[in-house]
Order: sequence, then structure tokens, then C-alpha cells
Amino acid sequence: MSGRGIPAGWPAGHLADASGDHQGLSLVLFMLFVTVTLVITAWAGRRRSSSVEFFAGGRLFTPAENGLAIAGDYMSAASFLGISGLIALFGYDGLLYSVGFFVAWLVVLMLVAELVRNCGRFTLADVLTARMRHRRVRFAAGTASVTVSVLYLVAQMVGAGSLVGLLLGGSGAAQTWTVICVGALMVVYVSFGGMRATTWIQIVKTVLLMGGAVALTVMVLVRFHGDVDGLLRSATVGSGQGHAFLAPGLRYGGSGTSRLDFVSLGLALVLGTAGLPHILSRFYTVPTARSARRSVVWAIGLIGVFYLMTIVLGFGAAAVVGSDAVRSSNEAGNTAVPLLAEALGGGSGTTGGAVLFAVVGAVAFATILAVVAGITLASSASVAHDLYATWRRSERRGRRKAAARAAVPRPRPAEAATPGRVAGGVAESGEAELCEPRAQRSEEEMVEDEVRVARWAAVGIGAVSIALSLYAQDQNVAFLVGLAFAVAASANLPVLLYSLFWRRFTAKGAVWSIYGGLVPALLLVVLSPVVSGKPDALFPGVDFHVFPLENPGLVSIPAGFLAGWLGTVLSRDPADEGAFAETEVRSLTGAGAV
Amino acid sequence: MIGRGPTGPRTKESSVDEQHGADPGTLGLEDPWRGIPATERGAPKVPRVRTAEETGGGFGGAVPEAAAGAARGFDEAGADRGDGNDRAGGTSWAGENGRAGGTSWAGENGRADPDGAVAERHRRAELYLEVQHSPAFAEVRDRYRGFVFPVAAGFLAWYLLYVVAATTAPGLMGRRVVGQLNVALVAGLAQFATTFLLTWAYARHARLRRDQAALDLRWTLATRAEQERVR
Repeated sequence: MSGRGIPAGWPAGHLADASGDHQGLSLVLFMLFVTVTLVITAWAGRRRSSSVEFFAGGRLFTPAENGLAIAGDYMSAASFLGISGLIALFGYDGLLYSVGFFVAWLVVLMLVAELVRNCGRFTLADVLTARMRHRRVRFAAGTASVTVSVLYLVAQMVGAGSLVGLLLGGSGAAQTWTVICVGALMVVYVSFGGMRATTWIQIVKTVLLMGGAVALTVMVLVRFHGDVDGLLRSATVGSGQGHAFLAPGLRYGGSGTSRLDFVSLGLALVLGTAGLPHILSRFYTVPTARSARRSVVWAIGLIGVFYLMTIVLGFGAAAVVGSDAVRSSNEAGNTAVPLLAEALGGGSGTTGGAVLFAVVGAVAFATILAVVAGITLASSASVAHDLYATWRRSERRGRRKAAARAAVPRPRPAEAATPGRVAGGVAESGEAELCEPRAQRSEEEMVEDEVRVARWAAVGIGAVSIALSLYAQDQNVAFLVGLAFAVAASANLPVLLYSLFWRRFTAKGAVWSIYGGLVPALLLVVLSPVVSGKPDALFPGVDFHVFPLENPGLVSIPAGFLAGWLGTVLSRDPADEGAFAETEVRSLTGAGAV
Repeated sequence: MIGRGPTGPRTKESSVDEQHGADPGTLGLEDPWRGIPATERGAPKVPRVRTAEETGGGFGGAVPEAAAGAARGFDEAGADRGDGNDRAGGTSWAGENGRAGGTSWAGENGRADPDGAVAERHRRAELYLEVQHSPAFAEVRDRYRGFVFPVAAGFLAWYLLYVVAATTAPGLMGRRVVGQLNVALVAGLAQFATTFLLTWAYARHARLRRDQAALDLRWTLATRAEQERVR
């Protein structure tokens, strides 16, 4: 979870000379983590694969387990290294990230978690189609989810490549291979292990990450004898900025545009979390809404403590290492925590320093690997369960319509002639009406299909992400994370809130809301200074930026809400009262939840 | 329906099997009343829905089964309603909404409906509408909204104030309070504190004021559907 503020590439090589002795240890620790996760995957993969097993891990995780996994999904390496680094460089302005990422969880807890658990099965689109019952809604929601996931995934994978350069002093080729290996591993986790493996990997990673962060935080506090004021005083000295280091403005105090940009980012952060597909799909791994709520409470506890620790680590790095030393090591400050660990362990060249540095590097790797697995699973679920299913159904419907036209006054097959079907009941009756006895079987095949498609979708998404990540390797990619949040907040959140709370919301409103948030968000990014017109832009050579802000949230989030409202009031048909009653009753009581 | 039907012995079996011998959604794993007969729990506050005969049913065995489904694993239907729409016979937006755009029901669209699918949806919506309008549900909803809406508005305003203040009033935010701590740092830590506090308050409110009532309603729905099934 970085934000726009963690600029690009984590330049390679600058630590190379100092890192000779921790390279080996880092690699050993990392291999250990990979081995453990592969064992978990093999164990989870032995289970029979149903869709509930694959997409929701069997739905029987406890709130504590799921809370750890949610925290694992949310706390990326960018949080650990990036936010601490920003605090080490810019003091208070870096702290704003910690706050935004954390407060966002209240939106998830109060407005989303329980209701989504009660209404859906595997994905965001389930919640919407429980009320809207329209293929176009499902398709739109699936598209938005996949877009958000891929943006997020690319950012994380490029981060992984850069981290290698940063921590192991690898060359360009090493970064390329790291990206490929991370991509391959995440595909293996997801395709073979499904949600069960992914969840356990998240849990292991959260324990490692929290362990590492707690250890470093305690060491920082011990070093200052528990005197927080002393820590802050040293930080102001170490930063070379004096008291301004603890006040706003070091980073975002410039022009009016940069201030507006920050408000935009703040809005995207606080509203985006509740629309992230890989977070939403986590609520389906527990049995009830009540356990979904308790999962979020667990997650909030963990995440809150974690972000508080990043603040201590950031100020600690400024105090112990010094902002200038951090900046000279990495312009973006991403080395602050590893450098802090080295200094706390006894300094460069000592065994203690090398060990701590290696541990921090391995934890960061583990973090990235777990996060990408979680996102890949969510996006492959969207591809299989939303996009593919929509396509399959519309194809079959086309066939059936053709068949129906061919034989209009077809007699109904007598119920008695197909006794098996009576038990099949209502759900399959629509099939049977037109497709006769094969209908039921084909419906079953479709579920089998969905899991199979999801496994292959993971491979496809992995390949696409690897390709995009390699292309974007040396680019400023951190904006992708902020962008993923902005797109999630613009495309997913309005439609979710409308459909849960607004009586008059219609299918047309839902489709408009999704596209009305998604398209402006993407368009404004293309037209923003992160893509063109600035030296560190994606295409520095050309300049077609007409939108001044780097983060589109300030415009695109209201656009999503507005489009949903507009589509609803322009609908020719009124909202379906019965469908809303069902959604509302189910979302608040849990009736009919799986 | 993705895979398993909400009704019928065959599909039910597979549903349980899929979840490794347990169907938490149906059983309510965290349900303190699990195993206690419905009659011993709080009396259902929702008026009983009309029976199949009263609502002009008579679609054979499938209909009450379906009503039972309404209170159970019906969410699959969400994925499946694209198919269901065909039964309603519409291809327009309204038709694809499945309910011919509102409360006038598909039974009236004149098409033969031997499986009772349209009537079943009709019945289910009626059940949910009735629950939605019942005082018991209104209480659950009001308790939820009464807590969540003001609190959400409050913390979002407080967060935005914090962000905007940091960018528009850096002077104020930089003023020292005690030692090295200034207003900005205190406000940032206060954001953490309020988030923890509101999390606790929400969880407590939901546990004490909402869970029980929601569970009662869920049971009422399930029980009533079961009664109809038996009948």
C-alpha cells in the first residue's frame, strides 16, 4: 500500500557493497518462506476442489484467522518500507498516509463487511446481482474488479523487482527474474491452492511482518529508553529540518495543486479500501456476518498497531540513521527500515546488523509474495465467476432463444417423465424449460468450469502482470497503488453503497455508476502529469496532460456517485421493490446467506 | 444457479458436502440458539406469511420447497437469475429485471409457468416485502442506521477536516502542545484513537443491540419457510 508519494524505482546497487554478507542470509530466509508456502499450497491443493473451496476456502475460517489474513492482504511491503521511509524523509507529511490507510477500515467495518457477507457468495458482483439480476451489472462489476486488481498487482510486482535491487544489489537481469519468479509463485499458490492456501500464506506473512515490526519498534524504543519525546527530539535533529519536521508542509506544502492533490489522495485512500476486490472476497471465507465483523475488528487491531509502529520506525530512522543518510541511499526513502535495522543491530559490517538487515529483506519479500497471491485470487475469481459466467450464460441463452424460435409450440416435457428434475427444483427449471434433461448437468459442468477457468485465469493474469511489470520496471509505478485505490473508490464503492442502501436504485443506475466511476478515473490518469509532461512521467517525451492532479479521486469518486444517481433517475422502469426488500432483509439479518 | 440448487435432496446433499459436512449458512455456526427448538426462543415478531393456498399457489411440491430455499441458500439465485429472467419471458430491461419492473407480478404476464418459477419468485419477494415492513425488522434497521449513519458521517468529516487542515492551516497544526508534540501529531494520534474507539463501540453496539434481533428474524424466516414446506 504505497501511495503516490513513494516514487519509483528502488535504485539498484547502492547497497551492493554493504550487502554482501546479508545477501546469503536473506536468500536462505526467503527460500525458507517459499518452501513453507509451497507446502501449504500442496496441503490445501489436496482437497477436493469445489467452487466454495476454491473461491472461499471452505468458508470455515475463524474470525482471528481471517483477521490476520485481511491484515496480510492489506499491509504490503510498500507500507512497511515505503511509509516508514516517507516519515523518515518528510516527517509529519508521511504520517498522513498511515492515518488514511487506517481510518478507511471504519468504512469497511460499518458499511460494508457484514452486509457484503450476508448478500454475496464470492465476489462484489454477487452482491449487486443479488438485487439487480442483470448480466450487464455483473459484467460491469467484474470488469471494474479486474481493472483494480491488475493495477494493484503491477505496482506490487514492480515493487518486488525493485526490492531485489535494493536489498540484494541485483542487476537489471536479477530484477527481471525476480518479477518472473514472483509472478510464477503467485500463480502456483492460486491455481493449486485456491483461497485456502492463499489465506494461510497471508496468515504466516502477517505473523512474520508483525513480528519483524514489533522487534524493530521495541529496539528503537529501548534505544531511547522509552522516551518518546527524546525520540522525536532526536528525529528533528537527525532530519536537519528542526521542528518543521514534525509539522505539515515538508512535502505537500507547495503549490495549491499539490495540496489539492493530497486531499484527492486522502479521499481515495479512505474510500478505496472498501472497494478493493481482494479485501471484499476475504469476508466470504468466514461462516457468518458476525464472524465477518469480528474478522474486521481483528484486522483493525493488527493494522492499527502496525501503522503506529511504522510511525515509530520512520521517526526512529530519522533519529538513528538521519534523513540525509536515508536519502542518499534511496531517493524515495525506501531503505529507511533496512538501514534502521542495520544500525540497531550494531551498524554496517557487524554480524548483528547483517542479520537484522537480512531479516527485514526476507520479511519484505514474504509480504510482497503474499499480497500478490491475494490479489491474483480475487481477480481470477472475478474473471471466472463474473466475466466468464456472464459470457457463458449469454451464449447459452442465445442458443436457447434460437432453439425456442425454431420450435415455438413445443410441448412441455411432463414432470413425471423426469423425476430427477423435480428435486432439482426451481433453480434449474429455467434451464429445463428450454434445454431439457441436459440442462442440469450443464449447470453442474459450469461450476466445475468456473474453478477450472479461475485456475487458468490466474495463469493469464499472472502472465499479463509479469509482462506489464517488466514493461513498467523502471517507471514511476507507485502511483498505480494510489490509482488502484482511486478506481476502487470510484467504480466499486458507489454502486455497492447505492445497492445496499438506496431503495430506488436501478440496474441502469448500477451500470452507469460503475462505468461512470471507472472511465473518468482511468481517463483522468491518462491525462494527468504521471503519464506525460513531467520528467518522471510514464512518457516523459510527450506532454498531453490537461488534468493537473496526479490522483483522480477528487473528481472521479463524485463522478461515480453522480452517474449512479443519474442513471437511476433516468431509468424508465422503477426500482424493483421486492428485490430491494430481499437485499435489505438479507443484508441485515443474514437470512439466506451461504 | 451456480451448481447446487437451494432445494431438493440431491442438491442439498451436495451443498453440505461442499462445505465439509457443515453448512454454516444454514446452521448459523455462531448461533447461540443452535439446537434449541424455535418455539423456545423469542416469539417470531413477523406476521406469518400467507400460505401457498392463500396466495393462489398450488404449483405442487416445488413451491413450498422454494419458499424454504428463500430462507436458506438462495443467494445462488443471484448468479442465476439471468436464467430465471427467461422464464419471465422478457428481454427488455424491465423484463430482464425479472420482475417486470416493480410490484406487479409476473404471474400476470399471462405466460404459462408450469414450474412455478415466477410464482416462486413472486412469493419470495412477497415474503421479504412483508418482513421488510414488519416492526421487528424496522427496529433492526433503525438501530443499524441510527448508529452507523451518524457515526460514519462523523468520522469521515473528522478525517477530512484533519487532511484539509494539514494542507490549509499548517501554522495551526505546527503549534506545539507539550514537549515535541504539536497539534498535527496529536490530531494524527487522535485519529488512531477514534478509529480504535469507534471500532469497539460499533462492535459492542452490534453485539448488544442488533445481533439478537437479526438472528430472531433470520430464524423466523427459516422457521416459517420450514412450516410451509412441511405443509
